[in-house]
Amino acid sequence: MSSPLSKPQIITHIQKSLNYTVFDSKWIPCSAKFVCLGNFPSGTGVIQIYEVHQGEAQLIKEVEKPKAIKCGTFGATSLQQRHIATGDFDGNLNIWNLETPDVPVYAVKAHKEIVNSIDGVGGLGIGDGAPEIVTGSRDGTVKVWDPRQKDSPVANMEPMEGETKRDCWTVAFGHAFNDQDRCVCAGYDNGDIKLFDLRNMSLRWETNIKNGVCCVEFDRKDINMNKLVATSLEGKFHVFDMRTQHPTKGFASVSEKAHKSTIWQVRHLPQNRDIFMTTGGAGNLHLWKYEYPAQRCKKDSDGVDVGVAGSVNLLQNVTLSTQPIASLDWSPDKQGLCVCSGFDQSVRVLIVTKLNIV
Amino acid sequence: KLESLRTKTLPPVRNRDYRAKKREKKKKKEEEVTGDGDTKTEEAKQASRIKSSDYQSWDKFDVEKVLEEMDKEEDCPAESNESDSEEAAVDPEKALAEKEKVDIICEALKKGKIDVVLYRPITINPMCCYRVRHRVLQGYAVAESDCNLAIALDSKYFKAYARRGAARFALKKYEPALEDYEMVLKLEPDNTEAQNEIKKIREVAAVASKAAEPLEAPAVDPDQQRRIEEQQRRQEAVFQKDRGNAYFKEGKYEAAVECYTRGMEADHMNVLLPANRAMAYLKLEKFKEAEEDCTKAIFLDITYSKAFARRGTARVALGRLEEARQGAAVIGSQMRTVQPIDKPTHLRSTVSSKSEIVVFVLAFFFFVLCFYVQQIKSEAYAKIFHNSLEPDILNLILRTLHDFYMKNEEPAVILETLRSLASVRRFDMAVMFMSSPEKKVLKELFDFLHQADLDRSSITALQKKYGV
Repeated sequence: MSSPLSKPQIITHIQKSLNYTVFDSKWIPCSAKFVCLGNFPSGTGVIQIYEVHQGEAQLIKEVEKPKAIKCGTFGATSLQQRHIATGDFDGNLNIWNLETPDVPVYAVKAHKEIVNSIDGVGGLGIGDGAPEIVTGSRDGTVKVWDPRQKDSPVANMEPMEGETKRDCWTVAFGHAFNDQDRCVCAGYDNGDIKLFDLRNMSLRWETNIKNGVCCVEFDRKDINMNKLVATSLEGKFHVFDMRTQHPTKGFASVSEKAHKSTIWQVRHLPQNRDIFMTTGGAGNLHLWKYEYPAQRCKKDSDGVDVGVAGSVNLLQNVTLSTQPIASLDWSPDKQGLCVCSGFDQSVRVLIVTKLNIV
Repeated sequence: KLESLRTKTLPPVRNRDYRAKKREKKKKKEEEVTGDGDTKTEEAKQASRIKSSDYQSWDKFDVEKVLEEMDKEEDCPAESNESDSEEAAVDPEKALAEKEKVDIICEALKKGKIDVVLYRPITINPMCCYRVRHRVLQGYAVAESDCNLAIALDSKYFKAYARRGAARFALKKYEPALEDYEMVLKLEPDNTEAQNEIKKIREVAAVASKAAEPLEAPAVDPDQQRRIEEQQRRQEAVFQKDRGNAYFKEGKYEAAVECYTRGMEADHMNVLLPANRAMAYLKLEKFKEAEEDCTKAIFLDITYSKAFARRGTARVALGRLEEARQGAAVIGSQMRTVQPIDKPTHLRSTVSSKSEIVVFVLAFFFFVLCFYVQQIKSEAYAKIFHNSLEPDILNLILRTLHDFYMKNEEPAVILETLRSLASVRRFDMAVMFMSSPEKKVLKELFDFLHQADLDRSSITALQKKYGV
């Protein structure tokens, strides 16, 4: 029986109020700095770099860009370079060197409409294979880019001609355990989740979770697909066990209702892939732990392998504000340190304790 | 570990075929748009095609059947213009894309549109050697040489042997034909077509030898031979033109020039080759050669407007180079050396390139502006811009008038020019789009005119037309 004090605590370490709408915040790997991406009220984009210094977030650099920036990732850059790839409201994909942010290192007009979500894989010394970036946009397409190839994507997942385009709200890389294999998971506004295999260039699995998918994330990008968490509107999220795919039933899943509002983000702890945090539309954060079942795989009535989903336990929850918390990023260097930003124009650095004994 | 991180070799960019496929699609579209003077069955191509990524339909695609259909040829000769590209990064998808054209050509055949079918899906990639040669109506020699190429690319491709056998049979080369069909049987023991053909050849050969004809090769009359050679040469020229176009689009202008030269050697009458080579020279900034090529092209075809446009560009550029060399200070005398004097007459012959030419010249060579505008007689404006007057051209002309004419020329000339400009069609639209600095220029022009001793009323009337 765990007493309330032996549970992990979520403590706000720094809270900073900003004068612009911030859409995304990311830690700069191997540093105590984080980047905030958003847009000024005038409609121009902004990249701000803060450093956590003696209990305060100090503004180190501010860069203004012509278009509002929606999302960013460090996932496809090397640790030495640490270039950030951003998607903006105009559909442009840019990779910036934060030391010289005037001119992008790589720029392409990725989509016709806003880039809703971006993810990178192959960088930061994690995993094998070429660094690649995937962007999902409101124009319904999901495109994979290689920074070595200019102007045209490496793969483009788009709806067939004649089909209605659904907005793609979220994308995530996964299954990148060797040079060739990669999977891209995309969530759409009508509840579709599609898993594309980049090695075979085919659709591997798709399902519909009835509510628009706000965020998908694999628990680890650089291993054989293990778990996938998909969050949606109406306060539900699903955890899929990706180790066993049944030909008709797909992947086994467990779902949880929480937050009583849209679940905006899910992020797994880099140091422990069974712990993840979900952020809600009511400004609250829930910390969860996934428990595996005794047997992850069993035979069904036809003798075909089918996966077994485990269970999810709530470890802690906290309410930070009244506005949705749109982004959350765990620090890869310090376990428990995370930065989150919300639509109340503020960015917070949080410390989650006791994650090592959970 | 840091060294290993730095020297880590990354795998190649994923899915290069996607990019090659996209480039091919774009290239095809561009060829149709630029329409090098060849009016081809491009429209037919847009008809139903199996998408190159649609592997299921390609599995069901029966090449043999299509070939049979293509053998029913009819009477109006036309060439289908396929582009040969030398990109090494080619792959099954590209060959498949080319095969789609078979479908289209097939349909066109049925409609009686194509007679001579030159079909060229060339893949240098030996992995996918679907280089299918179809029998040209009378060009069995050509078909045979094509089959030789196909066999050189892939010696196990039995269809190439079958086709070559058929071609040789038609040319009455019975022994080699027999050999080919036997090769086919060796590669494909169950091929009934080969077996039937062998029987047929043996029969005919027996008959022919009985007739005791000493000649083995058929007496091809010199006319036919010449025609065949001509056809071959024209093929070669088109081939080189396409290669050159491909290089040009990639930006490899020297390679493009080479290809065009080779094409010109093959076929002297093709007007596109010198014109395209001129364009490549322009890009390489070899203006003298560009001008010569344009002249050649014009000589071959007096109505080819692009040749005129490019020659104009080359000449103006030549003039500018000369100026730069002489450190042009005084504009007047140097400009007499620039040559585009005969431009206005040529301008009238084309509709669309007119305004382009004018914009180009006016926009880039400010020094030439004054001289050029001078050359255009004021009455000619209406004819030159007889379609429409772009607002930016109007503004350029007005600014020229303002900057140079006010100092050098008679006000009467300015008035004439303004009046004839006003008589151009859609003039009011252009006037509407004038911004305030341009209106200022206009005001100054009119003030200047008022000061001069000219007919007041006409000036004010003109002013009203210009909305000043």
